[in-house]
Amino acid sequence: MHNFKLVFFKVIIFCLIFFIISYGLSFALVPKGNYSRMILNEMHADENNLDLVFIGASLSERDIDPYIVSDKLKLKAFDYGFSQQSFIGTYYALKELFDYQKPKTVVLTMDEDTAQDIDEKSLVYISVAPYMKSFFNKAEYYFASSSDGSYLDRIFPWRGYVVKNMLDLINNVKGKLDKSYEDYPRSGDIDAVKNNKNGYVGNGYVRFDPNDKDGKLGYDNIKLYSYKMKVSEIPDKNIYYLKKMAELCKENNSKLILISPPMPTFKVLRVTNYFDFDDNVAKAAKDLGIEYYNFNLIKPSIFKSENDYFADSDHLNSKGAAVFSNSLSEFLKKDENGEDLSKYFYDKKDYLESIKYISTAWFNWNKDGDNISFKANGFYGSSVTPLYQYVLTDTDTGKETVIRDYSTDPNFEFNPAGHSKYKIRLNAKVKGSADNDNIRYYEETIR
Amino acid sequence: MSFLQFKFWIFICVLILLYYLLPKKFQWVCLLIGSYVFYALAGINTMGYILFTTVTVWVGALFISKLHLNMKKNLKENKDSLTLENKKGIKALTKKRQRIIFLCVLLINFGILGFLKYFNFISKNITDLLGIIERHNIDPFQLKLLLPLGISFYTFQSIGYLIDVYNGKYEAERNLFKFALFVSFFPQIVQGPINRFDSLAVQLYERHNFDLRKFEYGIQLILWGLFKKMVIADRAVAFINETFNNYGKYGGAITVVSILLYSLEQYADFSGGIDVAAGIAELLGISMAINFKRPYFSTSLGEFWRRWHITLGAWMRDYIFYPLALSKKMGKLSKLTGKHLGKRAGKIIPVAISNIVVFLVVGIWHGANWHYVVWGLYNGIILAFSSILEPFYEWLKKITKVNCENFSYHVFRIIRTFLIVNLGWYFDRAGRLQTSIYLLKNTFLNFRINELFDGTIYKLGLKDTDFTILFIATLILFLVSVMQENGLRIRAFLSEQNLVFRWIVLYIIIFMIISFDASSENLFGGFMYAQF
Repeated sequence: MHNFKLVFFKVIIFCLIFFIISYGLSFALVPKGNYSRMILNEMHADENNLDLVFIGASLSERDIDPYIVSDKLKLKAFDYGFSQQSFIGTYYALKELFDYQKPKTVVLTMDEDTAQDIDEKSLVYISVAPYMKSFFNKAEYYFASSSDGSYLDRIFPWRGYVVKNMLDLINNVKGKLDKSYEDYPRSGDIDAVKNNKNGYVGNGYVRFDPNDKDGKLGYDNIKLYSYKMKVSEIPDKNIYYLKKMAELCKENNSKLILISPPMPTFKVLRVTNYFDFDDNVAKAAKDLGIEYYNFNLIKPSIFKSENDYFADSDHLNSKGAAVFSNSLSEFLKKDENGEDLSKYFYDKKDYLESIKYISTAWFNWNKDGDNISFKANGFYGSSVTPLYQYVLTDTDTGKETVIRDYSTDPNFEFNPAGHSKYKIRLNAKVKGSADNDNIRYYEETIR
Repeated sequence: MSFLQFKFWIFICVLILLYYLLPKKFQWVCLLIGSYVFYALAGINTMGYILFTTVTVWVGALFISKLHLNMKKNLKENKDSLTLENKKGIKALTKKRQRIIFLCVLLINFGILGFLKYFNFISKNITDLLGIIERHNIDPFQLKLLLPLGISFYTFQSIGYLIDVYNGKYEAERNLFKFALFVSFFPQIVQGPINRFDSLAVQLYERHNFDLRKFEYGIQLILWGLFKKMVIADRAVAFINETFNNYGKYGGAITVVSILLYSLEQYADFSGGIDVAAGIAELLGISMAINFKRPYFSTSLGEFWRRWHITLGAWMRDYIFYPLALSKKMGKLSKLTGKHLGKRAGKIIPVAISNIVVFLVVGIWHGANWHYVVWGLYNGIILAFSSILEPFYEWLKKITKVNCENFSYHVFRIIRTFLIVNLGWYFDRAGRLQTSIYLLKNTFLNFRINELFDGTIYKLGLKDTDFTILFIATLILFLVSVMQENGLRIRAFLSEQNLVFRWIVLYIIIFMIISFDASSENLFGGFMYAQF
């Protein structure tokens, strides 16, 4: 006959030791919490109620300067975005927020990528969940976001998310034991960083200095986005979580607004069904009683997008975020005053006509016998007629030769006889523009 | 639903709780419902097939049993009035009726299996042949057929039961639901083992008290199975898939490494899955048939197939090999060959032919593709010829004065068998017969050994850390296998050690599984034999 009490006791001790070992491995191996930890800690610690919160993925983290918004609207604004977070994670993060704060307004940022994203990556979960205080929230978040193959990753983050070497391990442990890390945010911690030009500056905002090499988007030689695509409708799963967020806000007497922050023009133009998608989002938001505003279609009277506002193809740099935050604040004031805001947005036809430049250009090529056939393409407005010029650069001598001057014809056939190693550059400009005015280029080595 | 899914372990926890909390007379009912819930979650669309097999085999066996009982009753009641001729006639008539029922049930169920597995293959081959004759391409007629989970395993298991009842080994099970449990018992349904009714059924229906020792053993076996599957098999598979899917890119050296890894992966995957299944059964107090016995320690191909997928081999032996080898036709052949080629030939030829037939069936069972057929024939022919050439081997040993009793000769035999088996894997793993031949040619004529040292090997899905993990895990597997081969019963040995030692071993295995699990990266639909 088994002594079940002894067996039960042994099982408990075995499990306890198991969890202690696992905790130890997490403590030593899993890198110190990054921005997500700081954001959650600040949110938990803020004793002055947060009035306006920006939720979502990194668009909220980087595109909106809460200091500017707070100053303009005379309230406490906070960025509560977590990089690569899907709607599932945003919902549970919002649930956590409402346990500690009662914002009057919650603004959810999204673009067509985040709207399609239904899988919450393990790394995103690991970055956020450990710093949530509510056990039930964490557990629900775990089961809602996990799928086969990721259950173990989330319970045992040290499986894949680890420091790189022994030195990092030592520094990691030291860092985690440091009082300033443990007690973040202490008095003065946020003030110490808020004026930094780059990096985390407190209140959930990550600044990207446009003068930094990672702070300014280049519009030339972008092969990555040189194709057109179609986006699907918002997945049902995301509609479901959007609905849950709307209900949660309603329960907490908070207004939920959905916005698409500005993106580089080519990201809008590359999506052939962008406006259908936008209508889709608008309809879904309307059905759920959520206001929706797409700042890519906003008129210049509210916000005029400039090329140098962007750090990369998805996010604003600090210059762009500052301008946008000002504009957004004014916009929210108008919204608060009950003004009809539809007049500030372009429709499809007007939007395309308003783009009077070439956002990006590129070419595709293929060998056709002895000749090479080039076809130029680009993203530009409907009132723009692009002119394309082809230039050959001999990679040995560096000599550049215009092999086809500016023409509206995107096609060009070239016989490379006599050239072994060379680059072809495509220059694209708007017909009727001055010679060096806003020329976009794309270059490729042809073998 | 597979053993690698989170919801499966939730299902197991709930099932075990209910199993031991419910009154013991309902334990088998709990298992039956659990098995069907498992099957439904795995694919409710195909549940009709397992139900059909269960009902037809049960009805068929019942009728066969009833005929037998009626015959016995008739003979007993009329033993004084019946002549010898009458009695023979009654027996012959009963046997004839039994045979009709038996053949009907057999053909229907194997017919379904054959249709689902081989219709598209046969259709394509007929179409290709017609295309060759008529000298133009013809599109083959293909059906979108869904293969029910474990159809090969439960069909073989059910038909094995039917054959045993037909042969009078035991009476048919009268309770349909109890029989349904035997067919659908969920740990075995995914990839076996193919259990026998007389050994499994008793355990399924009897009442089980909670046995702590068996429960501990079950958990240890599950952990061991998961270690083999998640750390070894799912890690190695990335390399194997890359090289076989892009075989034209690599030389023979890479192919050899891939085949060796396939050797390891196949064993770890299959035996790992069986260990998990057996471990789960042990949690319920049930012992299933052993299916693997360290096959790579075999000293001959025959021994290999008595150690690898043991239950399939036993099924083939009992239900195909013996009936064929001991049939009247084989008897006549034996006499004929004995007369013309000598007594020894008379004994060996029927056995050799039966072996070839068995392995042809095994090859076909593996899948609807010619490379499996060739693989089966390869094994059958080698087995056939090994017995035919036995006198030659004896003569060779004699003239070379080889000492066959020492350790080095034993190792030689193991390595020789390993090489023969691995040569066979060329036909098993490759997607097409042409690919197998290409790979073999590549191995011998285009080795490119430099690819092992120039960094190519680290671009095929495995980094150097993966190779290190694989090496350590394989070493652990090898050491455990050596201990078992030398008669050490690992779990019993472990249970005799002090608590601290036992727990350290368990923690090491558990943390190795969690840390080095590659299944999330290479989740190729679960266990490889679940497709059969």
